[in-house]
Amino acid sequence: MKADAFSQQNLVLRQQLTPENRSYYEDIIVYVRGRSFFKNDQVVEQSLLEILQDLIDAQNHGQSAADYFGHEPAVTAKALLDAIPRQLDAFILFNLKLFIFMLLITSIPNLVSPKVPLDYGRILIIAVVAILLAWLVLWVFGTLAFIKFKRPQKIALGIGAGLLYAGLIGGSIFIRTPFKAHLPELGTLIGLFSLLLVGIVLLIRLRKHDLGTKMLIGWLLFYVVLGIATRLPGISTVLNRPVNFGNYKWLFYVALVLAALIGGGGTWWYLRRHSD
Amino acid sequence: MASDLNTQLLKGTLQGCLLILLSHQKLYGYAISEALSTFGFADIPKGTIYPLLLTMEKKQLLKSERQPSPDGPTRKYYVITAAGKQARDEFIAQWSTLTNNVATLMQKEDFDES
Repeated sequence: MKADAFSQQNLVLRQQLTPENRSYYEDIIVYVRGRSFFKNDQVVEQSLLEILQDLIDAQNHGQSAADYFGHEPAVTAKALLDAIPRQLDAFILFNLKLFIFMLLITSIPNLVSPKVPLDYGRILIIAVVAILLAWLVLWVFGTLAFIKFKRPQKIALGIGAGLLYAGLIGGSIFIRTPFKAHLPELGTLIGLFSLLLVGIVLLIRLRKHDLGTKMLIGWLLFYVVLGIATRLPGISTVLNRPVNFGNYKWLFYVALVLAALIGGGGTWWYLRRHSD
Repeated sequence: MASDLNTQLLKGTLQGCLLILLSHQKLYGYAISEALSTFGFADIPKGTIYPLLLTMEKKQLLKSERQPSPDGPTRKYYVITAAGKQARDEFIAQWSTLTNNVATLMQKEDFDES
């Protein structure tokens, strides 16, 4: 079984734990996953599933998770991590895939307008920072896993993280580098068509419940379709024409704010419903 | 202090105990913890066995295989290896020597006191 299959099974079985036991176990999960850099992912997930199955057994025999696993889960979780073998090649391969994925995410929206040169320096910087940030966030979550925060502290942390994230996203808009290139039209068009096909196949093949990834692919495909349309004879002249809102320019800004609110609110709602 | 000594003693002997347990039959995590409790190790926080089992697997004293448990779902069963059997025999021999030595020492203390 692969790591992904173990984690999917974990997600399903976790529902059997009582809220108290589940909270105890999820602290272990957050710690182990947040600190498992360079570790063999398959062994990590297999061990977490093994512990979960045993906690369910203990629960069925009237034992709480803390009574079974111990009242110092942080110490035991650290010992568990220390015992898991390192696997540097898998870590490098995973980050390489993540890097290519981030390159796609950051470069596709930049291909919409055929007249604007592609700032590949900017794209590289954003991709690298996003990966480093993702690992940093995971590490921070792992470090804080066993600290019991009060509600105001949780809210303050959430707001702080949100502001940091918004600052980084906002800041990325102003990044400009001298490393720019005009891509050949025909090559870009072929590339965009290929991406469209790959995206459609991925959407069809993805699991039913993987809505988050589907939404991300859908968002990227929107830009791919726009990129194709702005390069096709006939439609391109319409799409590349400057839009004059006249006196109704404010409506455009209202629509932008509404779109941001709907997008942000929708993501928040989705994450709350799928907290795992 | 007594508790610390107990913990240290357990840490040193738990691997040997697991090797003895698993040489009788292959077991999964919870079944191992149940067996340990049956033999008087009820006070051990069972979380400690997971890192130990992984370390023993890394040392190739044990191997693991996934198979259906009596309760239904597939579990990770631990099986002792040839190296594990050898380590078990060494532990039993060392433990016998140690307990004999401690018993002899205790008898001498009793003799001196009387």
